[in-house]
Amino acid sequence: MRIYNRKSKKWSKKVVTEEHKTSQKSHSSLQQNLDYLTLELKHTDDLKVNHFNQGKSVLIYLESLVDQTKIQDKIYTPELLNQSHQISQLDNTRKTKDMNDVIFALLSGCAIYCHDGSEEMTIFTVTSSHNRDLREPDTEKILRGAHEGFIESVMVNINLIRKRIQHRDLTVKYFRTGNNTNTNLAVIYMDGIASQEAVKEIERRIKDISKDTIISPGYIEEMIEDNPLSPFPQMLNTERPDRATANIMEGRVAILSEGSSTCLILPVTFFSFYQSPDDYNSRWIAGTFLRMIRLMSFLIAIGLPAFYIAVVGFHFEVIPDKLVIPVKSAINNIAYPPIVEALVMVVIIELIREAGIRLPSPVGQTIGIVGGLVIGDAVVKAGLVSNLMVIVVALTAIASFVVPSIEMSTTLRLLTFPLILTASTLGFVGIVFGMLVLLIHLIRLHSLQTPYFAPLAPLNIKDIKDTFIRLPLFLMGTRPKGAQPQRKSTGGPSREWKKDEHTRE
Amino acid sequence: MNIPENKKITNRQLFFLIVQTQVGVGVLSLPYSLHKAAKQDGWISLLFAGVIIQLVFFLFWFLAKRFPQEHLFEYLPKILGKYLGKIFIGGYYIYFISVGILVLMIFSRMVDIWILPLTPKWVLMFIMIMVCLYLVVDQLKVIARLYVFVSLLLLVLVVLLIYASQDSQWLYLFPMGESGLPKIIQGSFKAMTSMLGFLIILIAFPFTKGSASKKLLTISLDNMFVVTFYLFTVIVSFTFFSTTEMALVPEPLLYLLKAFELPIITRIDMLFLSIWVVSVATTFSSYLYMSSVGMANMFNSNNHRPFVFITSLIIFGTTFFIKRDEGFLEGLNKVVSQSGIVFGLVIPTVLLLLAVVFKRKSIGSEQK
Repeated sequence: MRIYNRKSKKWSKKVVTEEHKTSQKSHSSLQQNLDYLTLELKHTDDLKVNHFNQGKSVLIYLESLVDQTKIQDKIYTPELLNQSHQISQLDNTRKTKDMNDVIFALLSGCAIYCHDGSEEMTIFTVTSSHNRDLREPDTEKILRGAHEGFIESVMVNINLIRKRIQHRDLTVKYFRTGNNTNTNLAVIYMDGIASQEAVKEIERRIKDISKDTIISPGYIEEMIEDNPLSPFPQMLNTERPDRATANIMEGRVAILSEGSSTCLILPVTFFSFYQSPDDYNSRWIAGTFLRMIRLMSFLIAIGLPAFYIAVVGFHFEVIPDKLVIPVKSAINNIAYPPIVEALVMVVIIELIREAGIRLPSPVGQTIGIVGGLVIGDAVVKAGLVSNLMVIVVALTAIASFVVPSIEMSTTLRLLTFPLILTASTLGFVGIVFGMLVLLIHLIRLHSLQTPYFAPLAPLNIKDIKDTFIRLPLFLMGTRPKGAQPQRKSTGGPSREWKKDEHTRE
Repeated sequence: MNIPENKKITNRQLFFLIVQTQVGVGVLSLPYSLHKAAKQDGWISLLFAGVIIQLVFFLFWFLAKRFPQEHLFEYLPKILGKYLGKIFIGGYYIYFISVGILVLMIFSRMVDIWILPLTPKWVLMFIMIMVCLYLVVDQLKVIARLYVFVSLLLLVLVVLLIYASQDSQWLYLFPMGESGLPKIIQGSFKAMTSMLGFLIILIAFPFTKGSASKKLLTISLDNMFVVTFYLFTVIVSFTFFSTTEMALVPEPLLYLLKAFELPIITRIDMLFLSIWVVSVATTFSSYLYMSSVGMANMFNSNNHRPFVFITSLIIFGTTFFIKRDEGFLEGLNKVVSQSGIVFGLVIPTVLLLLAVVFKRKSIGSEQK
C-alpha cells in the first residue's frame, strides 16, 4: 500500500499522498466493495455500515468524523420526504467509481452510499467540526483594533481573511502535505500583487516536502526556509487575521495549515517582526515612537549585558567620575567575575520564564513574585550578584519581550550569550566583532530571495517609511520593495479633498 | 563573461565600496604622517593628493571603459599576453596580501596599545580574519551592502570630531606654505598611501550598473568625499595640537578625543576606536576580496569562494610566523606604500598606453 522506501530522492518524488494514489475501480458487487473498504481501513471499529433495502444498499461513514444531525438532515429526511427517489439521486452529492477516492472521502469525514449492482458510489459531505471561538491570541494582544484570532480550522481562517479582503484577486491554493498525516495547507496571496516567482517558489518547496508527519506550520517552516542554520526566523508567525491581511496586501504570501492557529507569512524582512497592528491603529507619531522604542529594545536586549561586562571588566575608565565609586562599591565584594554573574542572572530569568509558561496563572504569578522579588533581593544581599547586574539583566529581559513576535524574542535572548562571551574576552573590541558578525549574518540572510535586512541593506530610503518610523498611511504610496510586489502603487492619493477645500473657498 | 544584472551593485554601493576600502587604518595616523612631511602645511599636501588621484581616476576610467564587462585581472592577460599577464596578476596578488598583512599589523598594534595590552596580537588578527572571511565568501553585492550600512558610523566619527573641534586654534595653521613646495609634494605621496584602496574601482567597475559616465561621476564624488573627510580630520588635529605638539602624538585623533568627556562616556576615544575597528574590517575585507579574485583568475576560476579560504590561511600564516616588531612594521609600511604607487599608478598607466597603442578592447565595448 504505502511506499515506504524513500531512501533516494527519485523515489521520494514518486511518493504520493492518499489523494493521488493510482485509482482502483469499484466493483458492481456490494459485498466486494464493502470487503475492500473494511480491509483497506484495517477493520477499524469506528467504521459504521448502515444497511437499507434488505441489505441491497449501504451507507458507510467513520462515525468519529461525521456529524449525525447532518446525516439526518442531508440524507434521511430528504429520502423520507420524497419516497420515489433513491438516495443516490439526492442533490448536493458527488459520484465516483474510484475506491481510493472513496477512502479519501471517508477519511475526510464524508458518508458514502452504495447500491448493490451499481459501480457508482455517492459521496455526502457531512463532516463534523468542532471550533473554538475566535479569541484574541494571548501572545499577540493589542490595545486597539480587531480582537479576533485564527483558530485551528483552515476554513474558518480563510473565512477571516476573505472577510477582510473582499476581492476576486485573493487566491487560495490547497496542498496536501505529510504522507501519513495528510495535512491540508492553504497558500493565500493576492494575485497581481504578490510576486509570481515567490508564489511559484513556495509551491515548489511545499511540493518537495515528503515527510510522514506535518503537523503545524513549524514543520513546514523548517522544510521550506532558506537558511535553517540561522538563529533568525525567516518567516513571520502570526495568529492575527488583521496582521496576516495587512501582509497579504503588501504582496506577501500566507500559509495556513489545518489544525493550527498559526499563519506563516513570507517573504519577510527583519523589520516585519517589529510591526504590530497597534502601530497603524494609533496616530502615526505615536506609532513612530513605539517603533523606535521596539528597535531600541533590540539593541538593549542583545547589547546591554555585553556592554556592562566590557565596561566593568576592561574599560573602567569609560565610566564618568561621579559614577565610579557607586559602581566600584557595588561590584567590589562580589566573589565572581562579571561574566559568571551575568550568566547566573540570565539563566535565573530564563528559568522563571520557562516555569511560568505552563503553570496556571495564579501559580504563575507566585513564581514571578518569588523569582523576581525574593531571589533577586536575596541574591544581592547574599553577595552573589551585584545589584547593578540585576538591574542590567532585568532590563535586558524586559527589552527582549518588547518585540511583538515570540520567535524574534527568543532569538534575541539567545543572541545575548555569544555577545556576553565576546565582551568578556575582548571588551569593546569583542562587542564590535560580535555585532559585526551579527550584521554580516543579517545582510547575507535571505527570505525567499528577499534580502532579510532590507531596506537598510540594500539601502532603500523610500522604504524606511515603515521600518523604524511609521509615516502616515496616505504618504505610503508604494508597497515595500522587500515583499517584491508586482504592483507597486498602493492606490491613488486619498487626501485630495484638502485641495478641493481650497478651491471651494 | 557577461555579469548577470542581479549580481551587480548600484552606483551608491560602488561609492561606499570605494570609500570604505580607502578609509581604514590610515585615518588615525594620517595627520601625524602628513605633519611629519610638511609640518602645518600637511593639509595642502592632502589637497594635492586629491587632485593627483582625480587624474588617476580619469585614467582608471578610460582603462575600465575599454573593457566594460571585465575586471582588471581579466583584461591583464588580454593586454600583456597570457604569461606576462599571469605574472602581473601574481604581482597584484602579493601586493594585496601585503597590504592586508600591513592592515592587520597596524590594527593589532593599535588595539594592543590603546585597549587590550595583554591580549596576544595573533588572537586579534585571527578574529579579524575570521570575521572578514565570513563576509568575503559572499558576493560583491553583499559586501557592498554591508559597506553602505556601516558608512553610517563615519557620520558618528564626524560628529565626535565636530564636538572635539570646539577648542580649535586656527592660528596653528599659520604660517601657511612655510614648508615649501618640495616638502608639500612629498607629503602628497604620504597622503596618497592612505587612499590607495581605490584599486577596487578596477575590480568593481564591471560589476556596477549604469552608464560609464555615471560611474565616472560616482568615483569622482568618492574622491571628493574621501579628501574632504581626511581634510576634516587633518584640520581638526592640526588646529587642536600646535606644531610642536603634533610631532609627539602619533595618533592625534585619539589623543584629542581623550581630552573630552561626555556625560555618559568619559573616554570618547574608546568609542572612536571601536568604530575604527569596523573601518579596518571593511578595508581588510576589500583586500581579501581583491586578492581572492586575483587568485581565482590565476587558476581560471570564476568563483572566488574557495580562494578566500586559501588567501586567509596564507595571510594568517604569514602574520603568525613573521617577526612582529616595530622595525618590520616600518619596513613593510615603506615597501607597501612605494609598491602601492607602482601598482596603483604606474602599471595602470602602462596598461592604458599599451591598450591604446595595440587597440586592445573587448568586443562590444562601443555600444555600452
